[in-house]
Amino acid sequence: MRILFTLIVFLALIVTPYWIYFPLILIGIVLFPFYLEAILLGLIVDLVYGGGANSNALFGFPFGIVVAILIFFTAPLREYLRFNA
Amino acid sequence: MKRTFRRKFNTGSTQNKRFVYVFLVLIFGVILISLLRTPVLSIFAPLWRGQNSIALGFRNFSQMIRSKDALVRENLDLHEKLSSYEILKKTTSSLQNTEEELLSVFGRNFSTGSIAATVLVHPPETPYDILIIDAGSSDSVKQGSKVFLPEGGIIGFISEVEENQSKVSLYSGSGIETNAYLERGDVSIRLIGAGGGSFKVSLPRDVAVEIGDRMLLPSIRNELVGVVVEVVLEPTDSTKRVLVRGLINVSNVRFVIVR
Repeated sequence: MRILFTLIVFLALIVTPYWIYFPLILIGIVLFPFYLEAILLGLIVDLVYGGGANSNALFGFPFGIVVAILIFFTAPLREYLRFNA
Repeated sequence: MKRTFRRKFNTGSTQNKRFVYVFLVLIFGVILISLLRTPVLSIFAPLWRGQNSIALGFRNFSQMIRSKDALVRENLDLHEKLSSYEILKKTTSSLQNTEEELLSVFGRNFSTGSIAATVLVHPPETPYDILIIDAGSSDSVKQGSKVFLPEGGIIGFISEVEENQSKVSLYSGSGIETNAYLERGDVSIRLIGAGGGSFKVSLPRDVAVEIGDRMLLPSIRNELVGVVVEVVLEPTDSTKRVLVRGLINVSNVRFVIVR
């Protein structure tokens, strides 16, 4: 399920507008525990659509960094969530 | 008797472990993806080309099923527009010829090579104001080259070149600062990209600016970069905020010229 979702998001970030794949990544972070794949997806977004020569080192990957921070801070909060009734 | 216990939440060490994992994935991801930059773009390019042709196919199909009346009306409108553009073109081309003759007299020749390119990806697929075009170093595209619309007017510059693709950073990209000047009064300004093909600029309240005024890049060609669409001036402000719209809707651009 997790791999399938990651593949869907990966395809979405190639062919769909950002307002589709951004929420999908966020849904993945909430849905799956410690969804580190999202960091790689975020980095791919930055690599492919990022600012190019203007960007440098780690700060050239703003979306990847934001996703990493989100995963770190949502991981403890996920323990309060229940997905079954 | 059923008893409920308080769940054990993370201890500090779990948090530390999480931080280390996230940090490591981020660092290794950055290194890995930076190394795979060229292959990743080469893999994506055919998909973008395919996507463009599918979108074109859908557009043609939707045109086919539109009503006859709508098509006749559109045809008439387009004929009208075309005739007015023909007249405009004749006027501007004669002016352009005169300008070029004058400039060549003063030793400024502009017969440099231009490269036409198709836009593979544009916003909203790209979250930032970036275009990816299908011309690269193999087509003599160079980093820093300027990017124009086929109809005229400048929109950005080449920020990254691969063998068969290049990335165009639009001047309207969020936070990108561009030196320009306001045609009315020749006032030097610094355009600040606001994303989505628009710019913002602050001007002293005494500077005359009106809706429809043109913003030009300071070069011998005076390339048009945008048009003023809104001027906000509060009675208590010492500056006026000016919103400038780029030449096109960045979501619709299909072809560009690299010079």
